[in-house]
Amino acid sequence: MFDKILDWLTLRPLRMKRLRKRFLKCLESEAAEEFLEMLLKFMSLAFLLDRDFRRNIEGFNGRYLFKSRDNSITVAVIFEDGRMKVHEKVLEDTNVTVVFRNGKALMGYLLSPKPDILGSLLRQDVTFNGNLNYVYKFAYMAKRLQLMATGEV
Amino acid sequence: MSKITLKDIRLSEYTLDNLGLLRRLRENLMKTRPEVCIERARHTTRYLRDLSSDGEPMETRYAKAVAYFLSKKEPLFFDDNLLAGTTTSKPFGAPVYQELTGMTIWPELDTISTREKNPLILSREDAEELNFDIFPYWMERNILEYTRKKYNNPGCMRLFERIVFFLASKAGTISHTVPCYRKVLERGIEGIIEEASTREDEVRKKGTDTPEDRHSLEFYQAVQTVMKGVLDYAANLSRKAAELAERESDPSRRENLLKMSEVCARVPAKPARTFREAVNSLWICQVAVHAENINMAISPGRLDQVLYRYYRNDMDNGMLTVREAIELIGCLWLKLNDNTNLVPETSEELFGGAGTVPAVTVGGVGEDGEDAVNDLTYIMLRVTELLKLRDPSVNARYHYEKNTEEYRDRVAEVIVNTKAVPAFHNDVVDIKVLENQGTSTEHARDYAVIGCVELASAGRSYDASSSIIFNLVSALELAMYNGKRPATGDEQIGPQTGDPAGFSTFEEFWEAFKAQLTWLIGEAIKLNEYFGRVHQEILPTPLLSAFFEGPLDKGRDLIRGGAVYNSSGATHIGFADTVDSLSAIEKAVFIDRRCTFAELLKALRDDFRGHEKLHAYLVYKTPKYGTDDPIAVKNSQNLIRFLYDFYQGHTNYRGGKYRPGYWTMTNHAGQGKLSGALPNGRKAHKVFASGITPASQAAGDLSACLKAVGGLESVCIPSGEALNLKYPSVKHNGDIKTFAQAVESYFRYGGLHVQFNIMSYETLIDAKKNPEKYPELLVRVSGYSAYFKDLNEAMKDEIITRTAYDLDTGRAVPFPEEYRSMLAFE
Amino acid sequence: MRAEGRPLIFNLHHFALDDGPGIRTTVFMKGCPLSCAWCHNPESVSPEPEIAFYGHLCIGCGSCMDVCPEGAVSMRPGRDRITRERCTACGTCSNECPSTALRTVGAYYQVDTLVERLLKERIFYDTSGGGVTFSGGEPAIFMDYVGTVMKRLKAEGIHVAIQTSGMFNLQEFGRKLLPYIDLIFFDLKLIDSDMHRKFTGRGNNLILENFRYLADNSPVPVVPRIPLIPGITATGENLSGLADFLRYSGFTSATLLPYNPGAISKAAALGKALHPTLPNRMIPAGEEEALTTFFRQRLSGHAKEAPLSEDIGAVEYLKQSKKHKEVFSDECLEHPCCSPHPGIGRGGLLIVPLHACNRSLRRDCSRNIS
Ligand code: SF4
Ligand code: SF4
Repeated sequence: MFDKILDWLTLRPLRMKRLRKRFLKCLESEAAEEFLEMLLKFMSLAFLLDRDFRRNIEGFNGRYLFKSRDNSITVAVIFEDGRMKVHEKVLEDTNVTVVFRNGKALMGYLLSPKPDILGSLLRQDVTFNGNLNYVYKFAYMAKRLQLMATGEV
Repeated sequence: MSKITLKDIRLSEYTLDNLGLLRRLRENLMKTRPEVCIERARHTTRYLRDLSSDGEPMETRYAKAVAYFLSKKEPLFFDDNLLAGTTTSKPFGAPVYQELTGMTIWPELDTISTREKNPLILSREDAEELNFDIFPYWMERNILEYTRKKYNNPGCMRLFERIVFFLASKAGTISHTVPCYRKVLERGIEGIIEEASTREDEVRKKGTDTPEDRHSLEFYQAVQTVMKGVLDYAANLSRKAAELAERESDPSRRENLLKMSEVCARVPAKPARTFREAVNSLWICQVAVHAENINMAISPGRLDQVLYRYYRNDMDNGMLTVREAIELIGCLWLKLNDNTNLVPETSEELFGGAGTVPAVTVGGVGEDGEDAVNDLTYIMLRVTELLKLRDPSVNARYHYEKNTEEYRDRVAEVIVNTKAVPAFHNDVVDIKVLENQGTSTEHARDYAVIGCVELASAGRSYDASSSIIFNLVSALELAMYNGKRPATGDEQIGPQTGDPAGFSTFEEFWEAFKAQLTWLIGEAIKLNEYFGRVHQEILPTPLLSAFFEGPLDKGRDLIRGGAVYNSSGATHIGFADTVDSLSAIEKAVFIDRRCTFAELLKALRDDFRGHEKLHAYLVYKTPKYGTDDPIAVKNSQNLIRFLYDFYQGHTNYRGGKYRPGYWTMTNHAGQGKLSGALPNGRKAHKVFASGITPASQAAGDLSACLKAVGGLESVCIPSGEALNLKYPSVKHNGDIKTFAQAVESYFRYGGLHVQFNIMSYETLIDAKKNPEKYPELLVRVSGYSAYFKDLNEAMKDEIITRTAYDLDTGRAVPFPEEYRSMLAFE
Repeated sequence: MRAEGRPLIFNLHHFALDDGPGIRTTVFMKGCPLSCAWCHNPESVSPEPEIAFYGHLCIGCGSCMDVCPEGAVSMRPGRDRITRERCTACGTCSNECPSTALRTVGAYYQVDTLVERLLKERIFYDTSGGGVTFSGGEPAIFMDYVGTVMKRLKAEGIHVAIQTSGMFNLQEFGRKLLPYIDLIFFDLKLIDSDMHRKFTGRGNNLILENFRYLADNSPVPVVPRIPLIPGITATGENLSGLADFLRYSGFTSATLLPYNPGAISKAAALGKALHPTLPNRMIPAGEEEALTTFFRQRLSGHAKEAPLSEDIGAVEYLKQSKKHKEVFSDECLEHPCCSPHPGIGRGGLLIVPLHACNRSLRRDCSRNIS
């Protein structure tokens, strides 16, 4: 038991560091295909490690479904009991479903400093079905994560 | 008897050089950067979440929340302004209305202070409070999500969220109204409380207990509660001013603070006795209204009329000088600029740059139908001319039979000197339009402008004039593509009205277009009704109701139809482009047979690449709205008529009718960016023409343009129209006369409204390239003023490319060759 | 002179401010008995329809060439699109041209149509004290047509003005037009008849006679107008002569029309050229002012000699006569008290003789709006 904790304690920061690098690299890459995967991994870990960041999901219950337009990606994200769970499956009864054209488009919506709103609307890059406040909250957390990764906060 | 006692109506002896206070305050304002103010969000949330329960009736609970905030609202004195009261806790603040659209800034909490376009300063602590404490409570409770849940995520809401069809403003605001501050000035808040209390007793005594009675009781209680909140705020201001005076060493500051303390101890609780009390009372009420309602087009109305008796009285008694009156009005104008909207970056891109548009109306006739222009009218014009501020949006009413030519020419001169304000409104026709909507003659004559250009009998009519912002081009595209739109791809959006390639007459197309309009407007109205009912349920407005004629008589909140008159307004984007496209289709496909409908659609899909000849023909040789071409005249009039009949056939949740209007704020630029090429030759993603203005460069002849717009059936435009004209320059005396005569002629042809930018293509192009050279360049957008630098790029392009007319020749000035690519059809 | 057939109009200019008081419509008739070397409206000379070509609008689609029945169109770049000798001005090409690069100049309006069209502008006239001005070309060569339209306008109470070259049959003018006219702008160009013939194609005897007659007998104001054409009319000699003639005819004021080089490109669009010596620029402001000052003084009998631009340096001369210039300020012109014919408007420069505007009047009218 004690060993396990120690494992976690030592490996997690290391994983975090590695993930952070991969996340930043993904942000810079052209296609950003892995964007969602990287974001969610990095986010889960950050919730575990960063107490301030974790405050965002204390007492928060939210059910999200992320789907790529071509159905190649379907990821469910559930926040409950102060934890974040990620499943690669369809989720019923979501607060909001986010459909995106591709990783790049989703990244553009959530993160880029000056989002190309008109272009993204025109191309229908990202569409939502459900409660937009959940999107806003998620976008806030993603943005914060980005700032953490780049060392701005 | 003439009400003019000023020796010089131009008041030219008063300038910013000898009005030091106003100059200093103005300089300060221009330097101050806007900040997000969370005070209101904090207190209302705390009250609703922690100090009350969901079981209480909303009317009283909400009143208590607003009163709680008002009593907690910090009394602040940021500068040497003569008026006490601040809209927010910041010198220049953007309040958060979390129950409306406030939460859209959530994603930006960490970055809003540093974003590129119109940043708003937000401290780390305040951001955390919004993120952890305030927003979470509202996730299921703001108007949009409450409505979505209640009506099970209806189709009309999904359409709205696509942005390209119509916007339903109620998700973000009702506001857009003219309260009746006269009532407070005459009777004081205490008078209103007394009235509500008496009425409450009357209902109780009746002893009946219908749901309507229950609402009345709650409403009367709510009014008393919320009015007490206003009294608390004024008392706090008075106390604080006295405290500060004690500590103040500068004698003139000290004196001003003591004066404010004295004034706030008196008003708005009691009737105003002096001009200064009246102005400050009115300002405190304006602040108070924003405790409940979002800062969007809450318009103080006819201030030269409302404040006149106090001015006259003080002047006659030798208690006031013209200089002091100018200073007080100047202070009010500056105060009206103390707040701005909280706009997320997304919206900046699409709609940014707007002020909060508190419209002030001056001039025109009185309820007796006679010339109502007075000294204060000229004082307000002079202040507007000197300060050149974004707000208030000043509107000058002109009655060509009753008002003097001197007044008309003076308004023209102020426009020429500010290069933008005020806007001109046609009294004769405006009054007719309102009468036609069932407003009594006296009430119609007492109209004021709401926000941009909409008309309301001041303090009596609740018009929610910006309820629907409808994109006409989207319906046109649905008709052209059999129920689909290029912007939304292959999805079947509207009804299948047939592939126009198979149409053999223009009338078939017109029918298809009307079918799409009918369907799409129907959806917009449906959504507005949903929102309206939700507002009734969760966002009552007892405070605003108390400042209205009607609600206390009827025992009914404004949102439930308490006002004397009710309506909902729908404004339309892309009027000129739609009319010109209809005419182009009629002429090209069905009259000249230059192309088939299929060929036309192919050219549009290709954005005219490879179809240069057809494109030139569409641009130059098809009928244009704004000329006297009979086809253009017919199509413009048919469309106006059709929309009028359709809207008037619908009654809203408050028992009022829907009213169409044609003013577009900045929406025509954003919506244009989202639309494909059009049959009038406008290329894909270019801006639309603004308001009811003819398409840029389409109407080459000023007189024809004025006749065409003025010739539209004005009674069919009850929610107002914005004609935006541009002159490169207006030079000497004679030109101002001509300028004013052109306005009057337009009015005599039937035009409702006109506003100007006195700027050349070259100046505006330079201002876009070198914003730092033009920090204060004020422009009229489409109903309101903005600083050019704050506008988004599309909107800048639209203002630049608007046709400029040479006032010497009445002809359009050719657009500079090297910038032709900016034009919508290039 | 063209027999009255179908008089053509080449431009209905609404919102015209320079052709009389208020906001007006100017009806430009096509066809003129003179052919002035500098003509400001080259499209007004011929009474026949013409085809104008505006090269900068052409998108090079070639449709005009395809449709021309006369083979009069060629697509040589930089050249006139139309071989004028072959063109019958049938209008087929201009009708087909998608970009309005080719346009037919000259349209016939039936009297009813024209009157109805003009009455639509009525609110502008009424609001501003404006009206309709007939110009051209020479409106007086279409006496029956123009007279009928004027009569109809007069019956509607509309202010009617005419701009004329003075080349008309006086009897007919008096009978058919004069009863319906409120204001006459009478162009005087060159005082020397030979020069007049040289630069306008006709001598000036009839013109001067008609002018003298109207000066003495016209029931409505006659405003003489003199175009300032560099090197032709704007010479010391000519201006002295015209001033003397006017003074002799009892005139104390006249309007000088500034030179407008825009006509050069207008002529080019029609495949024509103006007099080769005409400069492609305005007269420099100082020089123009000197000319007008000299002219004014000569008109009032103050300047006996002809000290003029090229020869003695007009600007120098102007400096010496500051006190006159004062009276001659811009704002002053706008005010009716300075104008011998109230409401003549702002066409060109109105010359006010010294004795007609004394200091006290001038103070009254100094309502300059900043
Ligand atoms: S007007 Fe007729 S003849 Fe002349 S170029 Fe055109 S088509 Fe040919
Ligand atoms: S038809 Fe017009 S646009 Fe085409 S080549 Fe001829 S002149 Fe040029």
